[in-house]
Amino acid sequence: MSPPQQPSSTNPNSLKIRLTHRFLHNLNNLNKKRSNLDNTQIHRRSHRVKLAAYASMARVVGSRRAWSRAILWKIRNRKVFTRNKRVDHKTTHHHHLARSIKRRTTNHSNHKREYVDPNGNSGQEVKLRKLVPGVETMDACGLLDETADYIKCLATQVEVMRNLVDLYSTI
Amino acid sequence: METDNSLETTSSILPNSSPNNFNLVKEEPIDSDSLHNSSPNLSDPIISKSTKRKEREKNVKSSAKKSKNVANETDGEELPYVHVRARRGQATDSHSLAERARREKINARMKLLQELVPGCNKISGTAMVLDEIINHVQSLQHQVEFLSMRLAAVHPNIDINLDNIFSAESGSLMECSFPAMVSPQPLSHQLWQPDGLTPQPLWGVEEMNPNFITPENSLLSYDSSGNSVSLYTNQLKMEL
Repeated sequence: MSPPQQPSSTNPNSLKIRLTHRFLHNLNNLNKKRSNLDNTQIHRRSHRVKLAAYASMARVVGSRRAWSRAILWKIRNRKVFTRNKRVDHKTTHHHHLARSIKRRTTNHSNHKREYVDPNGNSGQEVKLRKLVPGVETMDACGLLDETADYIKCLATQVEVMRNLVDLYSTI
Repeated sequence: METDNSLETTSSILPNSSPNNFNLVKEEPIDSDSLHNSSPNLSDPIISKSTKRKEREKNVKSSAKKSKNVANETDGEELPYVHVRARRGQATDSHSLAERARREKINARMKLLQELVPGCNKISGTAMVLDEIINHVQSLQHQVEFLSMRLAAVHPNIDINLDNIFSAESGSLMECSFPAMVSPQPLSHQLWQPDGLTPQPLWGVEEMNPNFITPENSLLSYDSSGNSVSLYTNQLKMEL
């Protein structure tokens, strides 16, 4: 019936392939785990999809990079935290979780608020450190390195997601 | 004259005789235009010696490299430790050497980043480039969020296991029991029509938020032969 698909092993965009693989895997897990039926609100589901996206990005890169380690650590803590919180039923909103996770990460790393680079780019470096996960304590050189890798992976992830959305919405 | 100084330091073959230097200075713009160091310029009637030709080649090389009036450029970013040569008028103690090496590492990374971020090549100055980078990262993160919203709207309950399609290990991809995997789970909310010949828009289902997807988007119709799904994966593979 359908022609057999030849797996392209010499694909230059292997990162994209791996990302797609992992992202779909995570999405499916997401749909299987929770009772993610139609009564769930869309923003909750979209939040989970976003987490799946970041998780898949971090998994593909592995522990090589500081940002991927930070993301994986955050997600692992979040899972533990939600498990603990569900017992108490104190809060159900994930903003609270995010705040407490931020508290955890600041305890973990030296959070220097006034970091002044010798080049004099103080405000921007702080902003960049906030944007890229896991670069709080790195020097300027490593920070730029991590940013470059993060940008590359983010761009690939965005492309994968865009392709998926197009695909899902046109078939 | 500064050009004389640079010529002296780069090529130390001939002693400083003024007619030689004058010839060389005259020749330099001509050679830099042509940018070829193999064919000597025969327009100058005075030049006859081979040593002068050698010197001309050296000067062409140096001018082709666009050397500024600096004796030596720094190099060796790829070496395990950086060879940093002192430029004219710069301190050479260990602190400033290390500082300079560090600064050049940072500049190299900034150049890489400039290539990654579109539209950053023309901007000069570290502050503006950093601003661009920050904006780019923020925009990418917003795009992820927006696309995840769209995906959540479009992808409600589809339990396709596309992993097996993309696994490079499995030889033939479509023969892994695909129809079995597309398990018809809560059928009441199912977009899939098992006998879907005409894709009817089923967006009247409750979970579909019509604000996100316009009704004329065709649904994922699945006919039992599995051909449409193969088309689906074909598309996905093509887009990849």
